[in-house]
Amino acid sequence: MAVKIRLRRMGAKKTPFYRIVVADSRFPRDGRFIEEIGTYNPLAEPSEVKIDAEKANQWIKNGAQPTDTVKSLFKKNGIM
Amino acid sequence: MSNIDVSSEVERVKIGLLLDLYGNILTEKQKQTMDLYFQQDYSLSEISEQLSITRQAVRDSLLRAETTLFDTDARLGLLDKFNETRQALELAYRNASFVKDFAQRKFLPSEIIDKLNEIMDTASESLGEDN
Repeated sequence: MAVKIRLRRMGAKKTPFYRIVVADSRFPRDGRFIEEIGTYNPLAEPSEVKIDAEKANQWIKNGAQPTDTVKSLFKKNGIM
Repeated sequence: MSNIDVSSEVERVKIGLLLDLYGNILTEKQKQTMDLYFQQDYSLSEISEQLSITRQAVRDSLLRAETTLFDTDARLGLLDKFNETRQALELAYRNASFVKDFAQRKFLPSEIIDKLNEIMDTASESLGEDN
């Protein structure tokens, strides 16, 4: 069973806010996830990315697959 | 997908806002695929598996929905308007907050402070921020 790291949108309409979450690829869409390892706030000036690098690296080491978007966020923020 | 770089979080935010603004003119199926792909960051094959439709059907649905969103925005321009309004409200909030600090330091009448609080509340309510 694959574990993925995704950028998931939360927040109300017109106020986007994102979490970087570790979730099973087969989890149903009821919002469940294994762990939150970061956030992305596009409304902050400048936009704000927070990532728990230690957890991120640990999950990657354990085989969790980041999506392309998360990969790119990780790279921009000095992870991987 | 088309000309959207989905690995870019900025593009994702833009599509997300277009969905907030125009999502209701999409079909239910398009709404669902767009949500899974752009808001929940699922891959084409994961969506295809989850909805029991072919990968190609997912791709077609996304492409059609994107075209609808971009065409509609080209005609109505709500995204630019939304961003302008947001910036104006942020400016109003910052300025009201600045004047409020000043008014408090100078012990100006509480009516002034009340009005400034009103401006700030209205602005932050419209900005949709809980804090």
